[in-house]
Amino acid sequence: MLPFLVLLAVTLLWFLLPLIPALRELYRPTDIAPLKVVDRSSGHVAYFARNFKQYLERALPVEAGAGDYSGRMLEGTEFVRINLRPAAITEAEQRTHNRIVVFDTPLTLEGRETFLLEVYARAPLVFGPRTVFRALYGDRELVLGEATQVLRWTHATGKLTVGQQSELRGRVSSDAAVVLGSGVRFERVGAPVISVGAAQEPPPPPPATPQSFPLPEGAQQIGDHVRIAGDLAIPEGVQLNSNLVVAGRLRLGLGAIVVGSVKAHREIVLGDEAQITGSVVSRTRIALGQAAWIGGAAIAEQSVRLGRDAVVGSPTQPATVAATDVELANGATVYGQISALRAARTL
Amino acid sequence: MPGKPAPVAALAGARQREALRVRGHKGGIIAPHRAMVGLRWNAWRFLTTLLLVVGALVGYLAALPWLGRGWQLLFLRARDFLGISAPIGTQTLELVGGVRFTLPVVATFTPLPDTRVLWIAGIGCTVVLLLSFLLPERFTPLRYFLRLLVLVQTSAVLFFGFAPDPFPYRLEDHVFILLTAGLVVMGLVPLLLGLTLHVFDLALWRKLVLTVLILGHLALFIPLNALVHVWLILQGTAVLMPVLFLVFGLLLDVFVFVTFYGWALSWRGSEGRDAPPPVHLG
Amino acid sequence: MTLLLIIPLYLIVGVMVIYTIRHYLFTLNRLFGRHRQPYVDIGSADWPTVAVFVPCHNEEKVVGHMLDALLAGDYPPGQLTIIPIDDRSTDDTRAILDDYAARYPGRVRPFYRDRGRPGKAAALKDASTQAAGADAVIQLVFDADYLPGRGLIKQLVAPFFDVEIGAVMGRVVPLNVSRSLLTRLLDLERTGGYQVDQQARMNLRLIPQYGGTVGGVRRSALLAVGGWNDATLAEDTDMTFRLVLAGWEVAYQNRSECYEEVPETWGSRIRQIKRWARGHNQSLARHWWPLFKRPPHLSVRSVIDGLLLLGVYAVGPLLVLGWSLALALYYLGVQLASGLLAIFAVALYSTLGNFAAFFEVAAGARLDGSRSRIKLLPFLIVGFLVSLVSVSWATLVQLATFWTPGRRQHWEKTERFRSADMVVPNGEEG
Repeated sequence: MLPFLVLLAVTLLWFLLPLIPALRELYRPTDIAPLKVVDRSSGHVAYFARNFKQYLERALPVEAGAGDYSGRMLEGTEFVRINLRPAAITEAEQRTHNRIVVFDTPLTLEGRETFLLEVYARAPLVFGPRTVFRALYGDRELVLGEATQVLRWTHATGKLTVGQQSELRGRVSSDAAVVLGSGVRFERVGAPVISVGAAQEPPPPPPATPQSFPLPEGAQQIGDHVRIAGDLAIPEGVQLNSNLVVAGRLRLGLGAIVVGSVKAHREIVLGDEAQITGSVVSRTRIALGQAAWIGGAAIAEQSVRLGRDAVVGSPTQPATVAATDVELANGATVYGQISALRAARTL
Repeated sequence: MPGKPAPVAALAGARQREALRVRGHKGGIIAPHRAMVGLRWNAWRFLTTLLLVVGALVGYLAALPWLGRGWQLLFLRARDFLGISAPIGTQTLELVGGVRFTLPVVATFTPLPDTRVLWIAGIGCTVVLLLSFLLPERFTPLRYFLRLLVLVQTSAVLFFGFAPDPFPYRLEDHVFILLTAGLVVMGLVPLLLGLTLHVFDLALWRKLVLTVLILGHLALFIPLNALVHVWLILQGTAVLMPVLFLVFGLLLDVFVFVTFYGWALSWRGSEGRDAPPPVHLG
Repeated sequence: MTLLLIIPLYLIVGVMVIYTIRHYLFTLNRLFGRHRQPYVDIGSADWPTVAVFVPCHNEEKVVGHMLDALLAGDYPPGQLTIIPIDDRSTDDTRAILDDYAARYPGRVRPFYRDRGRPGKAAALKDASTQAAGADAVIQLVFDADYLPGRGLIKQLVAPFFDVEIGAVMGRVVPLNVSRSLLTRLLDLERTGGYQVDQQARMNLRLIPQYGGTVGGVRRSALLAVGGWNDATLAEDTDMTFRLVLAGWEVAYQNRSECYEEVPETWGSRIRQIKRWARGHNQSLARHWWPLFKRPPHLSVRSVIDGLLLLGVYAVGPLLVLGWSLALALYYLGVQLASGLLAIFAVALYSTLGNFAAFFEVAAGARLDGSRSRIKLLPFLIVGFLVSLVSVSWATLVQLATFWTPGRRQHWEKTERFRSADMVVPNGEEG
């Protein structure tokens, strides 16, 4: 019996050996907390910017008197405040700044600076070309020069103007407006109005007595939308008052109007001056012709392209453009937010 | 300013800029949300996975003759140690591809239960069943497990008590199936790891170590477990064979694999603790 | 005789193999596939009216936390009505709701039920048509023990800008993980179910499941399919399939997370999973044939996925039956194939089949960044055993009583365990 008990013990021990990490975790847990569900709207376009502002309010010491000042934040990070002598920063031989920079005075910078830590502009500021920022927060208007690079996020309480060929990584936001130059690349932008060059207005409401468009045979009413089995082309100048789900492609001719929301399983193409008053969703891509308008969200799993002077949303009806890739032609305007999973760019 | 280097150069290239991009103002890493992350498959991982799988399989097949001999030796030593008077024979197997190896065979009669043994087994089942009802609620899984054992064991008691047909298995068959199935599980280990572990971003050496650990563990556990079965069946008769075969056979081998796997996936990824996980781009 | 055992066993093995393949496919897709979350970035919008229903029955321990969390949300207050549905509570739930209604007039509008069929489905059925504020465009549902974050309502509403979306489901995250081995195991199971299973379905354009809480429906879709079905114990699964069959889609939002309380005792867990099993099986009986006939708007793979989803609780008793057949064949000495091949097949099936669910859970937890808890993986086997027995027993009883005249549906509410010392982690990024 004893030899068997020895065998049994050896076998059991050997069997349980790989279970030791599991038993340790069971009796001395190291990973027992619930997953952290971020409850503060972390997806918001200005989330990081707001966090940084709160951090500044907590950690930036209130210095006595006026003037330039360098010191440390309450938790130890170095910072410099530029008030009287902007030259303190622009004339520095080394144009790479490894501390938080606080601008307290309106200023036009020459450009080519590199800010390795955040920049906080309390006054309106004009940056020169080829400046590199880690992150940038402005309490007033900000103008970014040509070929600016921002690595993390940008926020301006006032209007934010972005120079051509700039690259803005992360989240870009303004409480007033964002004006993008040509050749700008970005990921997420949010503002009451975002435009490439001068902002465009949404079109006037559709006419009350439109030229109606009969739906094709086989169109099926499902709840509050009509389902079309194949492709659908809505001809020039007509108006359709219905929510639509199109299993194929959807094309709207010149000036055609859909009063309602639309979804297509393949691409959606809005001809010049065409309008869809509600949301537009495509499993592939959405293309808006010149001066076309979408009143609600424009969501595509591949790409959204806004032609010249095309508009999404309106001042009273904010909207989101979201896709893997987004392209905006000159004059394209979005009232709300643009999100590109891979990249957005202005033409 | 002409002649001066571009400021971007001060950031020492894209790598440093990328590192800066994911670091928050408090110094922490801003990892993408868990809902958005996935794994990237690259040529290196594909190649290493292929090499690990093929290498481990070839190594395992090449080691089979030694493994068979080792098991044979273990059975012989254990027989003497346990005082079993059964001869240990060998059975030669040949796989496709010409790999030949031998497995130990316990060439002895299979003791069948008499009425006394069946009564003991029946009473044992009843006691365990009652015990399962007496256990407190927090032991519910154990209660269920005990009832499962009782169910299988009772079926054996009923079979040996009432079935007109003779029990179709000998101890020899039992051990042979146990060892052979174990060998199949061992052969599947590299493949299963290739599919389910090597796809993760663990360092190559960790993957290699885990493969060796699992195979090494099973190489000893399978024959040890079989020897425990042999002793129990010789002492307790074939009435124990069904429960040993169905509950304490192959399932234990799979359990060992799961245990190692769970441990391995808790290891840090090759990209280091602070690196954010990769993100899908569309 | 032997054939009578072998043929069903082969069929059962076939079904199990299909489920095994499905597990591997979903997990590998979630790890490497194209990640579909088309609505996650909708941040600016003209937000529609929303009614949030909170079915309550003796929820005094939790309902206050829930309402506070909803009221602290960032959804435009004028567009949001919170409708707690009190279904004959005998504790202080009603007084608490009255208090909130008085403090937040127009925002919290309780709906009281004193008669009619009990249970969540019946409560929703009544409230969704009769409650003040229920005419909102979107109707969301939260159980009373849930704790929605600030931005959650917007996240759950966002997919409804797609006119084809009839229902939305968010991710459920257990809050009381640390309470016991059971809660830790349920946390792992939920991870596999949501992080992997549901998201893979979303990625592959299959049928993500509306889970009855942390989600909701479009009112027009609800009306189009005839409202909530109070004759079922799983109104969520029932709604999923009625919507899908009628031409709507269900969206899963992996980013839209919400805390829940999982059962802390095995008894409570067993009652919960038995109720789920019975409800799910009701949906299986009701919807498998219409789904099998494949309505033209559904792809073949959606139909296959839908059938497998419907059958997920029927697998338990099937597995038990398979084991019973295998046991019988063992005693008969029947070889399913010859010699080594049989051993190979059994070992292959046993290893790959048994491991599939572990792979799914471990992959989910790894994606979550919760590496250390994956060490508990082997203990999941005890959870599986209890679930298997409970689900099989529930199904057998359901089958046995199916034709019993005058049988009544009994709805068992999941017990609440929340204590005053509960801490909600305040997640932060950066």
